[in-house]
Amino acid sequence: MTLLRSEGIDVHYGRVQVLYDVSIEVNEGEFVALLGTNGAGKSTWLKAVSNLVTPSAGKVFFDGREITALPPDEIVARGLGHVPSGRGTLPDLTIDENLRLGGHLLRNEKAKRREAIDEIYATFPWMKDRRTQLAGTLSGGEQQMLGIGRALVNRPKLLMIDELSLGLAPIVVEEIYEQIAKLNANGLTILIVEQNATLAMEVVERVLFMEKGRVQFSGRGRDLLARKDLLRSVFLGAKR
Amino acid sequence: MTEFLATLPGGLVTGAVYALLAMGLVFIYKATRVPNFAYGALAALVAFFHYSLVNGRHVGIHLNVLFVHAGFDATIRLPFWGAMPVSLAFAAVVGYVIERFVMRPFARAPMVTNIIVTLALSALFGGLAQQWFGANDLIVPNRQAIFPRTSALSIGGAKMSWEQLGVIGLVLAFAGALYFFFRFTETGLALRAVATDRDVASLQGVSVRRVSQVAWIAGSMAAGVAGIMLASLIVSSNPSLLVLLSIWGFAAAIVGGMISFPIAVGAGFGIGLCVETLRHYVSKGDATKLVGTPELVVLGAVIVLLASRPSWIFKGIREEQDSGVVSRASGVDLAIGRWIDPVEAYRLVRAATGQILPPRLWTAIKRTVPWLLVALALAFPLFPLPEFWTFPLNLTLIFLLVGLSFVVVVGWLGQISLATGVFVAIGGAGAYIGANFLHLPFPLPIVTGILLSIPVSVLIGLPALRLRGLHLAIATLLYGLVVERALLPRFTAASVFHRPSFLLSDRALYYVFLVCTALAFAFAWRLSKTRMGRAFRAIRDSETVASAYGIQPVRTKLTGFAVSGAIGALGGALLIYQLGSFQAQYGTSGFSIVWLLNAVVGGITSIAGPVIAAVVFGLLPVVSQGAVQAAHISFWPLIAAAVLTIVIMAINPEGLASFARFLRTRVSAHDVEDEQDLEAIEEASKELARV
Repeated sequence: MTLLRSEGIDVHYGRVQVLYDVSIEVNEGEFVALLGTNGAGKSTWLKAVSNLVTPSAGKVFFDGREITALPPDEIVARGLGHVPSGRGTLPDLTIDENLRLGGHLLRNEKAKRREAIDEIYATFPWMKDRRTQLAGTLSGGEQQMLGIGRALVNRPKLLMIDELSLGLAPIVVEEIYEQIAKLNANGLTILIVEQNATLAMEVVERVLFMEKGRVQFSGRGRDLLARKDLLRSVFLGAKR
Repeated sequence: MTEFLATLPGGLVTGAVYALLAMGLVFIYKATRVPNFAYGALAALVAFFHYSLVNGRHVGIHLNVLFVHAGFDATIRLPFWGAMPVSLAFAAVVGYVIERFVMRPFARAPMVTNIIVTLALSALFGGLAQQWFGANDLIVPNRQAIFPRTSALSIGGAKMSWEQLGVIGLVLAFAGALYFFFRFTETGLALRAVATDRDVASLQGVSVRRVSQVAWIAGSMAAGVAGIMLASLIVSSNPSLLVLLSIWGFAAAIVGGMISFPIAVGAGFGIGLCVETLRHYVSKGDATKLVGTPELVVLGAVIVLLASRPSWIFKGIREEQDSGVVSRASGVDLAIGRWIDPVEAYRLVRAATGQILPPRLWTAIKRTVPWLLVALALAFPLFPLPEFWTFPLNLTLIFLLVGLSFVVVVGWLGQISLATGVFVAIGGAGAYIGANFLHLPFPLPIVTGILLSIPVSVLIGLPALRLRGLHLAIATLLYGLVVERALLPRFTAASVFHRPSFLLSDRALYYVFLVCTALAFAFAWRLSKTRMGRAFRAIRDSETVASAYGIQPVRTKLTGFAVSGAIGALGGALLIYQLGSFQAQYGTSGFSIVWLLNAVVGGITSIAGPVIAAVVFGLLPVVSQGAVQAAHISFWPLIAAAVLTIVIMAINPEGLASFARFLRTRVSAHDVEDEQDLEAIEEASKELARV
């Protein structure tokens, strides 16, 4: 069943068009990677879905209902989690405050929220030990985990993670992949944005490939590797 | 020591008020990224509303619909504390209306737009307060004071009244409540998140819209409390005085980087203590000679602090980003902030007019209209108009210069400077010195006025080398404040300025003014076509790119400030010829704000803008009211200018003057876009080649 569907999304920044007729579907339970070079429009598409940038054309459906014109906070309330690029942790807030903020929508159901936060602490035990530490003092990998953990407090149906591995050490990336693969195995639908195509293709079921604001490919990673016409210009030197 | 102690209570109270104002500003800024320049005016509006309730306000409502004849006529008179909830409810409604109908459409607008829009709101509320409640001083008698004014305690030489103690206590309680709110409540947490990153906060399910609504309502109520307290403390106050005081609150808030409550509160108390203590010691000396010195010292300290750019001040304020592209279109976007597409504006105009001018007709109009205007200006005094007509005409010519001064520094150089009032005052002072002390013959006093402005523009331009946007706007506002406090009081009504005998009639003066104004406009127009004029626009569009192309920002900015200052000073020198003495309403920061708004409505990037502004806001009010009533001050023109400014900012920040351009543009909206792009690209490449 389709969980998220974008239909013909166009996005303009001022007079510059950055997305052209982008239609993407994500099915329930899937683990999808959105690949593409710098400036291909991947992050912009995520922002258009969350309505952080308003599309100039097109529609977005989530969980069977249209969410195109909704304010970002209401989209989050429908169960769409979005970890923005640059991790989006708030540096002046402590780990615990960041997680509490992630459960902002549950603020009137304190017990439920506490339970959700404790679950995060169980997944990432180091967070519990350092709960009063300011997020700004964490390492890049730790911040990424906090960003993901914070999005999970709200118990989303779909988790979109922007620039998952950007600026992180390979060993940290591996650990994070392991964690989100586990989340996916438990039934969470996940979409990640990656520049490191080889890495993502090893893990995910389906890849989408964007270039110059258009979706050029959707399918299994193996098939994308076969599409030399797409890859040559972009991934010169990528593992064959 | 006892002497110092004696000044302490006064300083603490003043400091407490500044701290309260600063906290309200920081609160709104944190939640919305809007520097609320309307804060002081809002405080004044609520304070006056409150005291009108306390003193008895007549309310009449009459209904006559078919058979229903209902009438309600009463004078409402409430006790002090009884009027409080009504006043705060009023403040809350105003806050809600501001957020919903003014600020929300500007949610993603750049800082410069927010500055201009809230300045317009400030003028709007200041105007409304004075229109509704009178421009006279509000005198708060003992029985209406917020707390009793009887003596409460005395330690050493320090005596404090209940009122002083109460105000300090209230402010500290407010600070404590704020700390609790941010530290321990869910809304406080959400607000801290919004303050750091709006997008990230909204991705956690925080409604940015609701947060900004809460902030505007709560902030407006805090402004109301501050206003009522201030009015009570000052005993005799008027709306413009309260607006003026709020500038100190801004100084305290900006020292805290607009985001830090502890620093803002500390700075508020610090400024209050310094000013009051210094004032005490100054008053022991020759008071008239040293008037304004405390303000001068404290202001100097604030500006030096800003210009030294300590990291904490700049942490919370993202300065305008360079676009990295030099083009006219992007320059206007950056400097003034356009977010409704010009194509949309074009459609509006086209829908309204239904017709497009053929290009040939357009060229003909463009060629003839300026000459027609000049002919009309020359012939104006020949019309059979009564003699008193020349007075508003002469003022209009001076307003033309004031507007041009803004066009040069804001529209071309892209620096939000509110110092033009300062130059008007300096020009007047220079002319006064030239004529009364140096006994120079006409027209040399005008020249001394202009010459005197040059060191001042350098002084004002120097911080501009290191400050931009919000910081620069506040620094220049503070300069205005010092001029108001230190310079203007030195020239009292006794400082009479005599015109030379051949200029006694206003009609003769009119021609002198016309020549001076024409020369200034010709100079500015020529300048805009030179290498320096292009350098101005390049700096406005992107300082980084401009300096990469070999333009020196320091030289260019100082030149821009000097030109703008000289034009403003010329206006000031002419003004003193017209008025015969210094008059308090010119040369103040309020004057600067009003004329910046007027210039924005006219068209801040265009040389035709000041002409439109001066006619619309200088001449039309007089025409519509009739010169007989000219002596009676009406605030409706000011209110209209404020509303128009907000509308203009929303539709087309280039102002009325640019609408003419749309009239000649043809065919489909798509063509407009392409044509403008092409024009912009062509112009950019030409400019780069020339620079």
